[in-house]
Amino acid sequence: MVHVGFVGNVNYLEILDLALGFAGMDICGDDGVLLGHWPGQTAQEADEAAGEFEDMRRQFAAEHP
Amino acid sequence: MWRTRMAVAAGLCVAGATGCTSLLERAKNPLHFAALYLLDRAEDMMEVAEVGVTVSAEPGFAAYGSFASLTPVGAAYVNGYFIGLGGGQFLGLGAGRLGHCPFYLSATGVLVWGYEELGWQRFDTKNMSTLHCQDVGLPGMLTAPHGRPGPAPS
Repeated sequence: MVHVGFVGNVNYLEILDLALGFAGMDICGDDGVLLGHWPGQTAQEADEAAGEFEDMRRQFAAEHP
Repeated sequence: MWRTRMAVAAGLCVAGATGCTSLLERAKNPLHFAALYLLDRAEDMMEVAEVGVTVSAEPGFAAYGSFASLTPVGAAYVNGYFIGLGGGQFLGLGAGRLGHCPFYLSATGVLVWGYEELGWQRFDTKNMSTLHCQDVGLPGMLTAPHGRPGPAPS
């Protein structure tokens, strides 16, 4: 059986990212990569933050089985 | 001449402060630079909005809304495919697919706070570094970010 849903969303920050992108800026940090990062954060720092968050989730799951 | 150089340097400093494009590092030659520039803008354009339908073999549930990422209400869990515009692709174009791309959404919101996990194109639901994951709602926007950010506000 196939389940169908509907999606509608506007990303306001991406509108700004698109506009500023024409001037060579990349506020979402997503030029050339699939996932972005926060301003002031490098892609590597974003990966590390995601890893830390994953550890927190694992710990929470272990404590609340 | 030195004034031009100073202006370019100042411009790069301003751009660097807010997040400068990585084009200079990625481009191999001027033609490649121009192509990547246009490709980046096309991808940015395909990330501005998400409009389409989700299709999944396994049952999911989604009744979730959040105006400007400030008023998250509802819950959603969908792990399937997306047909439409969004996530840097349009009908699979930009994702290396034809007509659709993998899609994942897990979100919950109680108006003042909410949490969203969003996956587009290539992701592993057990690997947070492949997902957008963020707190939303006013307290969520002010607390430390979780992992990789999604395109908030949205």
